[in-house]
Amino acid sequence: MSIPSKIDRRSFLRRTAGVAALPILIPASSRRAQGAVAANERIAMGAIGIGGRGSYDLQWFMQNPDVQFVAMCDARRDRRDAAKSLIDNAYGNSDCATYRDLRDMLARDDIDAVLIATSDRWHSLASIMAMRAGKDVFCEKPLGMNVRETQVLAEVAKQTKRVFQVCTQRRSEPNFVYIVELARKGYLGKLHTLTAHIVHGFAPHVWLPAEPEPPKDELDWELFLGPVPYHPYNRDYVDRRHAHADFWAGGLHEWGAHTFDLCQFANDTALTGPTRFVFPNNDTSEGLVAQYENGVNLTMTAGGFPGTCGVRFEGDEGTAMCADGVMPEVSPVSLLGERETILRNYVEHTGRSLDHARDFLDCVKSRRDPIASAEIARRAHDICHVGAICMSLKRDVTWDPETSSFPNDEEANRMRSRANRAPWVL
Amino acid sequence: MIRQMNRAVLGLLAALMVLSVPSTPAQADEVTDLIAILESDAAAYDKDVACRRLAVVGTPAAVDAIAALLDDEQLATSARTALDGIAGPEAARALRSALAELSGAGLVGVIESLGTRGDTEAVPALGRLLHSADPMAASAAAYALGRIGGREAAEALVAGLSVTDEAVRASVGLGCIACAVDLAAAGDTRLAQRVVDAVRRPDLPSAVVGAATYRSILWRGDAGARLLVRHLYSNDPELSGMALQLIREMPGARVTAAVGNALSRIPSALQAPVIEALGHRGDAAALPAVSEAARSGAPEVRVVACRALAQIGDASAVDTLLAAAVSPDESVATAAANALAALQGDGIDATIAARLADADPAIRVVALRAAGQRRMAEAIPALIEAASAQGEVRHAAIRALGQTCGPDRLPDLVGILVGLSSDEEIGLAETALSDTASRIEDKQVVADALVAGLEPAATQPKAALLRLLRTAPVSSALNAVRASLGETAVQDTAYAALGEWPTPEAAPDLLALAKAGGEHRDLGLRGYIRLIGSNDLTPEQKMAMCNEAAALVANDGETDQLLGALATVPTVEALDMVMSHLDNPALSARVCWAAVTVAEPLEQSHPAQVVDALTRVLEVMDNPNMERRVRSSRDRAAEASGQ
Repeated sequence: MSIPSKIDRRSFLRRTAGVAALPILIPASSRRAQGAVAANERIAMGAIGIGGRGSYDLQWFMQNPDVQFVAMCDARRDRRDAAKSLIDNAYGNSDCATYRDLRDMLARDDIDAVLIATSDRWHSLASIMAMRAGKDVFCEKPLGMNVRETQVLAEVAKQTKRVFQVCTQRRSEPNFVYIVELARKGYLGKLHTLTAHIVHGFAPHVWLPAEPEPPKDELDWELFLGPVPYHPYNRDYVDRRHAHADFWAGGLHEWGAHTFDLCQFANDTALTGPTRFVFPNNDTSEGLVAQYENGVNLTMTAGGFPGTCGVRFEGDEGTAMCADGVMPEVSPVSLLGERETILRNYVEHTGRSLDHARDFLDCVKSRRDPIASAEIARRAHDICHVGAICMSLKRDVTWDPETSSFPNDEEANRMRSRANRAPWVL
Repeated sequence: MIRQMNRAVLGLLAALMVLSVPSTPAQADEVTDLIAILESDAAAYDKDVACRRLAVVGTPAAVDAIAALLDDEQLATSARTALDGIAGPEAARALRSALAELSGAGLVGVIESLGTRGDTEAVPALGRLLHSADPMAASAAAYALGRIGGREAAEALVAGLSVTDEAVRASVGLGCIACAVDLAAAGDTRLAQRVVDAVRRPDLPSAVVGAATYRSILWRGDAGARLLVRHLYSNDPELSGMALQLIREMPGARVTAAVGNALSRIPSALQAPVIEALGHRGDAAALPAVSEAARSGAPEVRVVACRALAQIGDASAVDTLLAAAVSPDESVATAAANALAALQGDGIDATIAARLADADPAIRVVALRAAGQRRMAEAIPALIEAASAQGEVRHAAIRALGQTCGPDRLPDLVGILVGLSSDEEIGLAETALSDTASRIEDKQVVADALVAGLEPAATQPKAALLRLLRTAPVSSALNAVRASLGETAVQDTAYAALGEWPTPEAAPDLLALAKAGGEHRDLGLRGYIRLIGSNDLTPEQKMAMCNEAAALVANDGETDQLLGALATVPTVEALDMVMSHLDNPALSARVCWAAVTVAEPLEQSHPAQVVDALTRVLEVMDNPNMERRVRSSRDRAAEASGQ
């Protein structure tokens, strides 16, 4: 086939502009051996949207000697400069290329995979663009703003057969894996109650007063806004994105992306979901209950855990709790003595790393689905989305995970999606 | 032709056909009001909000007013959201009409909306757009057709593969795959096959070709097995990677057989990823080929093969893994040992048990370790027997007993400890007993076994037992420690055990030591203050202990520890005691932390005291992070007190 030069390709990309419509798919030059990226070769990565969390992710990935970040992209110059400095300092050179427009970076044919750590509004679209461009993707959570976004993302992952992992890293952390395995392997008996840690809060929709747009090189508002419906430029959208509805998925998504996923994992329902959401008669989501067909209840709460992102699994023979920064609490306590055995067997039977980034990198080489694949992530995020719809409607809702719809509930069904601002369509 | 992944959307649309008219007059009035806003000179923001509401309640009556905004740069997106929610022909017709009127981003948005609706009537127009001079619109049309699915869309997409624009052609290829997945889900596998085969052409990016080839082979079923193996050898990494994915995901015994048969012939560099994929595949039919690789491959291949055996192996894999576990190559040995521990299935424990007295000491050690890691209770007699051997066999047996024993065999393990003389082996047995104790719920059983071992034990084993008593902190265990305080040979160990006793039952002993002064004063005071943090105490009990300790602390280090204990006492009295140290500059940060930690639970019940204390704290602190916490707590208390 005819492979255009990078300059030709980028020039073309600039001309076309429609992001999702630009799948430049040429095998990365580093992929010389069997299995996309051979075990002894470096995975060339690009980074998209690198702020505070993204910097953490970058350093996490760069601990792996078989990773080389060759480029980064951000609509903000201060972020570009900071991330380039971080990457170049790590490698002792000045080789990291920077891009304002992710289309230019995705057009490079020497990038195997991308790390996406933008804020919420860009996660799905950037992931879809990257997969269509032939890149494997590691993306921060929450994965999307609504049911449709995460559904389309899972479809594209399936169609393109790219390796996709969402950064629900607790799925790979030993303490969380341990209590999930306690539940899955029957140590807790028959599960009846799952409790998931959330944060409260939904942001309002408002157009703030228009301010003069900064120079594009400093902050490209068109790119920053991306798929979000038109908003006049106002710095507050940049500095306080959590305060605005179209820029922040909401409190349920913030931790629920992790904790609901862990509950799904423990309940062996990772590829389906609850069928009934019971409105808690408040405005905060405290006490919102998602009910599964198997009789298990998932209760959402902002309190009751000694650390962040806690989960508790209760069965008729025992309980297990874990949160960030604390040791798991289990009953009977003798189960603590099984921790190492359970983790060893988990690793041996699944072949998974107990490091989320490492699992992704292993899968890039082996072409296996990562532990938090697009389909698994989509299901957990459905709980976030549907929970938010339940709270918005202030009533119970029934959900069909098979069809991703609310049976006989037009009002709720119409809240499953929001159009993206063109040309940033899915 | 309903595409599986769009069933949700189509199901919604079907429901909306019935339900999209407001069910009450009030709702109809709301729609009328919203239409009026759109048709008025209202501010753009108001129209945006109206569109967002119409997305939920809008009816066909609102379509014209909404569609008029599709070319409005500020409102087009919300207008599309509104139209997307309105079922029925009116909204679809408006969107199709807009195809001819819009260009650029506006056109792209409308194309996507038609794709989201699954509007089959839009297929001809979208097919023509594949050949548009605007590559952005052409690519959007390709994705929309992929979403709509069906035969007509498939034909349009396959025809679109001839477009000259490289990027658009790639989009069309991806649209073809999406459409084919839909066709296959609906049962039309033959057409789906033809569509993806049309994508396997050299002028498309290899990632697109790889994704199409994946489907092509998958849908061939057993007949695709040989093609899969052939693609393993491809020089194109996308195609060889696709073949690896298929080994994991393609069902059928012929795939396992074809790949297994090819394993010995494929290059060694490829063997490891293929074996790994076979392991993940989970088909025991691959066992002979994988076992052979574990026995005779290159070290890196043997490692992967051992891991794969952990996933698909049965009792027949035990001998292979035992042999690999004594390999001089450490990575192979480790992988094999881990696999032995994790193997699942009937007969595995029995096969390992048969090797526990193996004549080869190296094999015996590996088998003993595996028996321990697998918690093979039936192997305990053999483990006890092996514990009477020498060297590494004995060590492995002691470790294994620690992993295996339950309450009933605990005395046996205590007996082994009592019979040991070397420090190294006593340490091993102590660890083994500690592991065992951690798994036993009834701590009285543990204490009884340990206490029973004290009498006959020599000094070093006795010291180990005293240390272990802390793992079973019941009264009889504490009494045994107390009784040993006077035994010169183990006195230091007994005092240390008392100083680290985990339950408040030891508090009086420790307080007495602290008050008595002398060489055990520090040990007693540290242990006493530590116990204040126990969850078994009420706040009143904790405060009483704090008062006792406060009278004894003699330096900043001890005060620091006391502040940590006070932080667990949510009472005003504790807050006052913390604040009494605010003037000590050496402890300033610690006092601030303790003060806010005590104050937070008191915000609602004692707001005035909290405000007063934290106001004073803020005057001295210089830690910005802590300052935010303190200020927040003080503000909440001030609000609670009505200030």
